[in-house]
Amino acid sequence: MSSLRSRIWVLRLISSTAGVLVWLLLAMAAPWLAPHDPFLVVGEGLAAPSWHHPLGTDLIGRDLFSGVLFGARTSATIVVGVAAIVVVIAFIVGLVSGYLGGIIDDFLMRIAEIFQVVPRFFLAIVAIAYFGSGVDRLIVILGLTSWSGLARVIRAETLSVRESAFIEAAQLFGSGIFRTIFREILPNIAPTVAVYLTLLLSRVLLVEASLAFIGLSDPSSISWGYLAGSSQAYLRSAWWIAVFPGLAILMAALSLTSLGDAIGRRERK
Amino acid sequence: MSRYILRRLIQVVPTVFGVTLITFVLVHLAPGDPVEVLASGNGDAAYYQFMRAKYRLDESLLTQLWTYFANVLRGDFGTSYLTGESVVRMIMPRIGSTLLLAVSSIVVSTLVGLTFGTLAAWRVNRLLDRAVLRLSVFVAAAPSFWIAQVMLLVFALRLGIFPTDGRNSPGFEGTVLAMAIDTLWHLVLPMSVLAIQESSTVARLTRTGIVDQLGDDHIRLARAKGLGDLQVVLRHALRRSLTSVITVIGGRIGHVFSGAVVVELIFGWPGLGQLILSSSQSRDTPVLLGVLMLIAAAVVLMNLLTDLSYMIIDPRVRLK
Repeated sequence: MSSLRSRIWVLRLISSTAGVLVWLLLAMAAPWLAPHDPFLVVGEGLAAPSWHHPLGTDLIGRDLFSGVLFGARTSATIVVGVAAIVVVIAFIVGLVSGYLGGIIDDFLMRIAEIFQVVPRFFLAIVAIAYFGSGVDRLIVILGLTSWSGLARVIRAETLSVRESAFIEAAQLFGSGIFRTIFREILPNIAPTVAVYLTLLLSRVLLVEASLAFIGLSDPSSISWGYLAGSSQAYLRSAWWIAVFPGLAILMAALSLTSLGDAIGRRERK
Repeated sequence: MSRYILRRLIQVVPTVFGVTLITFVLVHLAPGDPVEVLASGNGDAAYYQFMRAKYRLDESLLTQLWTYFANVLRGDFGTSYLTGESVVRMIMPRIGSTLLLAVSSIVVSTLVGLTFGTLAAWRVNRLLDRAVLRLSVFVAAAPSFWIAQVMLLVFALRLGIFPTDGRNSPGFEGTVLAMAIDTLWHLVLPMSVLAIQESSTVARLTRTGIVDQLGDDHIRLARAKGLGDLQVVLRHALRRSLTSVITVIGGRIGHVFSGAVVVELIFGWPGLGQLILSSSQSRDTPVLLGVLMLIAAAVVLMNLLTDLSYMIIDPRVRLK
């Protein structure tokens, strides 16, 4: 790798990490940064962006800028929660499947397949419609429907690592299953998992936004998708309600995918 | 070869069954009583009892599941809790609309994606290639409703080139051809929204497929014969990368159906997506189950079809 290329790579990694960090920081600091309570009526309805309301107001006069800031909070909570569930399930299923093989492997992979066939969007619609919507339930539903792809990646990586000479060597020296998994296999599959996970999370973010857009969001917390969905009836008179929340989603998803891309480039070199 | 096809056909059954099983159990585990939906909040205990018996809701989950599958095999998907209409009759008129939207966007996005992917590979690592890659990453990160609303704002509300919603102009009457043209005119915006996102996937796949071959012997031979970059890419590299583009069509159909829900809502397109939304909001279980089963079957069948077409393109698969 030439030094110029590696420098460009470092820059990319820093800028994409910064993007994700800004999003998480805004999410944490929303209550202090937002000029208004996003649920409170603070001005005229459907006011265009101005000095007082940088992104305008919605139908009943709530500040859209505050809404977008608090939306960062909702989306970040959901993405982090889903990531936790997906990582736990995918690692257990993937490692067990790849390491043990045989009937257990077959069985687990059939289950993973079923989850891959039904688009998770539809399962989520059904689950939310029947169980009611809430951030907690959204996290569980999106987590339970998103692990299968990563589990397959981990299984495949485990399989290929398991066959390699250094694992054989480690086992020859009396390394037990858990030691082999934690000391030898995990460090080797971590970069691939990181790349896949960031891409997956950007999709989860988009699915969550779409669910909120069609009216299936948590009524007690403001989300970007909800804001965009509320704009549909006033597109003619208030373009800003449609444009800005979507732009925020785009930036968040973009920072996640470019982070994955930056990690992936390192791997391919 | 026929044994392979048969084996793949048999594999379809448990997957569709599994999908229905998951939704069925999910729906029945949910809190709340479907009878309240049936009686729309009115009625006394006796009426509840009557409705429960009529829709067999008092039986065990296993019996209900068994009856449901037995009926489905006979082509009976039950009746809507809300309107009493047969589910099949509610779904039928909407299948065409959603299929038109889904198939047209898949065809268009495949053509557009192949074009852009080939152009990018032809100018690999140059400005055009970088521009195509950037654009595809950008498009993939944008929520579909955002693209839809921005297009609606620009092309329908500001410029007035395309209609804002519906499948036909209100009260439109005319010859079959005029009707088809009117539908096509309404189709452009919703179809484009779905196609834009899909074409980014295809473009990236095509590009990678071609670029990966550039160092191969058959490409070097073609170059040695004096063919230019574009000819090498078009005549020799593109053909092989077609296989990878075809294999993902099956997976993309599920993606397009999901996207269609949002797009149908925004553009008032009278398809299955709208039916899913309205029936889930009113907890109309039979309708919901019917649509989901149809979608699962469509996705699985498309996967099967792509596998089979793959087999025709690449003879090596037949031997396995």
